[in-house]
Amino acid sequence: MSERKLTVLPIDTDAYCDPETGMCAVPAAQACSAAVTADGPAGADDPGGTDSAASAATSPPPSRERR
Amino acid sequence: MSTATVRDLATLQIDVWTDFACPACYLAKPRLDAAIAGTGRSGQIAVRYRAWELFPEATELPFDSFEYVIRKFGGDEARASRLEQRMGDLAQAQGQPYLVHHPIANSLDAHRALKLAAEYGRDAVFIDRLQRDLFGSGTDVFDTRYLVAVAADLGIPAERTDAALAGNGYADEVRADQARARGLGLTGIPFTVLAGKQAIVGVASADGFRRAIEAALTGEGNDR
Repeated sequence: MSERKLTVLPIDTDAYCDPETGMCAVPAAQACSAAVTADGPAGADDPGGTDSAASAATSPPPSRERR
Repeated sequence: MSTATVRDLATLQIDVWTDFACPACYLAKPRLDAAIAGTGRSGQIAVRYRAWELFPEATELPFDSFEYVIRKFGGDEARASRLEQRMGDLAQAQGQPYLVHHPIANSLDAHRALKLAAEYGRDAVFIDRLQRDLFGSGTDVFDTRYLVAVAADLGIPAERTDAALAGNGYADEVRADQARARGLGLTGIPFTVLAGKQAIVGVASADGFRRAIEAALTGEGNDR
């Protein structure tokens, strides 16, 4: 596989885990074990619990510095 | 036929970056399996599981997943419970048990054992077994003795697993997977890459996975 950026497909997703923090996000600001982003990707801290986390899963957050 | 031969013949290569401790990856695995079966062309599709360590700083001593979540929420247990329940609901909706309290530890050895399992064409069932035991039973699947025993159950000689885990077997391969992922711009796991060109970040529906796979099969194909 070549080392280049990929095209991220615009597919709705239910959850993902942040590769740097281990925290996961699910729709409606709900999360998983090893999971749940309070301060992490994509509005998962949205108290309204809308689809911000779902949106984040569809459009992942930018990479961040590794700890 | 060896796994390598199947991969050589495959029309579509799918690479999945995953971690055993990743609940989202646990959800995604059966959906991706169903998606591949749903294409009716599973013989033309090869899946390679690649390593990502969600907790590379963790030691071999397990810690409780739920306590970790609570800490991340600044002690808000109610919120953590609500969110964990949602993950459990997602898992149970597709027939997967999910314990809020399950252990997390360093997954390097498990990934190394997975690399060995792949040599025997047993990587998919190895993942299924470990994640079922982890999320369904709360087993410490990161423990070396457990890994050797499960590998043996799946037909992998115990002496090979023992030797690999006692030394540095497959550690370079695990690190290479993670370096490759960074090069590709991984932003979340599971990270599913189709034909080395397109990525799905997270847990799509089985239908979503299937449509993307079918498009890749009929599109530009594999550029390995």
